[in-house]
Amino acid sequence: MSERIKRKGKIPVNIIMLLPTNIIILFLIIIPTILVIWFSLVNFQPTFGINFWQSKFVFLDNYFKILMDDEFVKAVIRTVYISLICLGVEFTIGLLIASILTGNIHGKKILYPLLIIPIMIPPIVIGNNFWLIFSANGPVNQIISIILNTEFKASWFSHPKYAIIPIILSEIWHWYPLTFLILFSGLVNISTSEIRAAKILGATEWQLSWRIKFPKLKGIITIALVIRMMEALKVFDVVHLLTHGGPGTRTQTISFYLFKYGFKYSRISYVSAGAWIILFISLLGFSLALRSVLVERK
Amino acid sequence: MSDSMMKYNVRKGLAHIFLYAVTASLLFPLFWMLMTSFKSPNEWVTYPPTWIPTEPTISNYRFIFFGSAGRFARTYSSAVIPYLNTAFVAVTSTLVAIVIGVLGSYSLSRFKTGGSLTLLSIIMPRMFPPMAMIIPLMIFFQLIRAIDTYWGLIIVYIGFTLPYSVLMLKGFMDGVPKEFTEAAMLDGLSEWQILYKIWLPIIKNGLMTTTLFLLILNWTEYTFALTLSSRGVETITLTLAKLFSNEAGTYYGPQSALGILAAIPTIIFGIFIHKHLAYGFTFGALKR
Repeated sequence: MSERIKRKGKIPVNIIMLLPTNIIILFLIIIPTILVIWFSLVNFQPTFGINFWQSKFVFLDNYFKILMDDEFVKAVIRTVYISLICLGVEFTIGLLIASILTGNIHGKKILYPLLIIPIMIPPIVIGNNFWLIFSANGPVNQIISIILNTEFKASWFSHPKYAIIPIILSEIWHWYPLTFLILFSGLVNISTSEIRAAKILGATEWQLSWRIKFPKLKGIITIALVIRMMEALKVFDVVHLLTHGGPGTRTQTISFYLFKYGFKYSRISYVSAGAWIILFISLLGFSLALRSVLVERK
Repeated sequence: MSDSMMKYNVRKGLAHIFLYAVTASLLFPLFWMLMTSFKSPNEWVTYPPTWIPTEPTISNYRFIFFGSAGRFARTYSSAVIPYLNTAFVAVTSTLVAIVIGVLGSYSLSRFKTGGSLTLLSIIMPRMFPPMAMIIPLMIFFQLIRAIDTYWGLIIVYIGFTLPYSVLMLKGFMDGVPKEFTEAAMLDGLSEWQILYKIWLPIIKNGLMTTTLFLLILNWTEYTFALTLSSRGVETITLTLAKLFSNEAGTYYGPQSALGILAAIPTIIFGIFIHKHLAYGFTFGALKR
C-alpha cells in the first residue's frame, strides 16, 4: 500500500489529508501551549506596557507564588472534593438505574432517552435551572419546609456553607447520564450465558455482581472515572452564573480562579503558571485514560 | 402461583415504581423551568410557589423574541440575533470540523498515519480545561485580530470539536470492510475517490451522528464565547447569562423561556443520537 502512495513522487496523500487537522492543532493547541510556558516563566502583565517577548525572565517565581497562594490551593482542593462527591453520587445513581434498566422493564425505550436528557442541555441553562428551583421562594425551600414542618427559607447562593450545594447538585445532574450510559453499555455487553451458568451453579446475587459483573466492568469503570474527572476540572459555567465564586471565595473552582485572575486582574504570568500546573495534572490523568483505553481495545 | 414467583413479581413491581419515580424526580428541574416559562409576572416569586401556572401566558416568550420597553430594555433587546448567531457559528464550525475530520480520520483509519502519537496529539486538547488555554489563545488572537469576530469564534470551535470529529469518525471508518476498498483499488480509483464514493456512503449514519454530536457541543459552548467574542458575537448562552446578571436576577419568567428555547435544539439533536452519546463523550473508547 505504501508503495502505491510513494510512487507518485509527490507528498503522500495520507499526509495531505491529515494536514488540515495538524494545522488546526498547531495553531490552537501547540502555539498556545508554548505561549503558556513562556508566560509562566516571565513577569508579564498587559498593564505594564511591555510586550510579552520583552518581559523580564523570572524562571519559576510564578510557580512558587501561586503554590503559596492560599486561594489557589483551596480552589484546587475544592475542585477535587466537588468532583469526588459528584463521582460517588453519579456512580451510585448511574449503576442503580443501569442495573434496573437492563432487566425486563416496561417503557424502557421511552425511559432511556428521557433519563439522559440532562447531558444534552447547555450547562448555562442548567445553571439557570438550578437558580430557579433553589431560589428563596422556589420549590426546594418549599419541599424542605413541608418535610421539616416549619418555615424554611434559605437563600442558598449567598450562604457561605450551602452555596456549594446547588453547584454540586447541578454538576451531578448534568453528568450522571454519562456514567449511566457507560455502565449501561457495559452491563448490556456481559453475556447472559455466563450469568445463567453462574446461576445454575448456585451463585447468589451478591456473588454474581462481585465475581462476574464487576471484573468485566473494571475497564469501563476506569474510563468513566477518568473522563468524568477531566470534565470536573472544567467546572466553570455554573459557578460563573450562580455564585461568581462567592460568597467571598467559597465556591471558587480551578477554572473560575484562572478566569478571575486572568481576565479581571490581568495577571497573565501568574495565571499561566497555574494553568500549567493544571495542564500537568490533566496530562497525568490523560495518560492514565489512554492506557486504560488501549487495554480495553485489546 | 408459587412463593418465589410472587417474590419475583413484587420485586419487579418495586423496580418499576422506583425507576419511574427516579425518572420523574430527575426531570423535575426541567419541568419546573417549563412551567415557570408560562407563568405571569406576579406568579414568579409568590410563596408558596405554584407548581402549575394558574393563568398560563406566552408573554415570556414574546418578551424573549421582541423585547419590551420596560426597565430591562437597556440590557436586553431580543434573542433573535443571538439565536441566528449561534446557529451560524455552530453550523459553520461543525461543517468545517466534519470535512477536516473526514479527511484526517480517513488518513488515520486507512494508513495509520503517524501511529498512536498522532492520535494522542489530537485527543489531548480536549483533555485540558479550556480555561487554561484561553489566556494564551486570547493574546494570540489579539495579535491576529480575531477577538470579537465570527471567524475567530468559528476557528476556536473547530479546533475544540475536531478531536471528537476525528476520533468518532475514525471509529465508524474502522468498521468499513476491507473487501470494498480492495475492489475499488483494483478498479483504479484514487484515494479521494475511494473516500468519496465508497467509504462515505458506508458510514453515512456515523457521519450524521458525528455532525449532530458536534452541533450539540458547539451550541452549548459558553466559556470561549464569553472570553473571546462577548462584545462582537453574542451567542444564545451569552444572552442567557446577560439576562441573568444585574437586576434581572429575579426575572424568572423570561429566563426560563430563554432557557427552554436554548435547550430545545440540543435536546432534539440529542434524542436523535442518544444511542451514540456515550460513544462520543468517551472519544470512541466505548464501543457502539
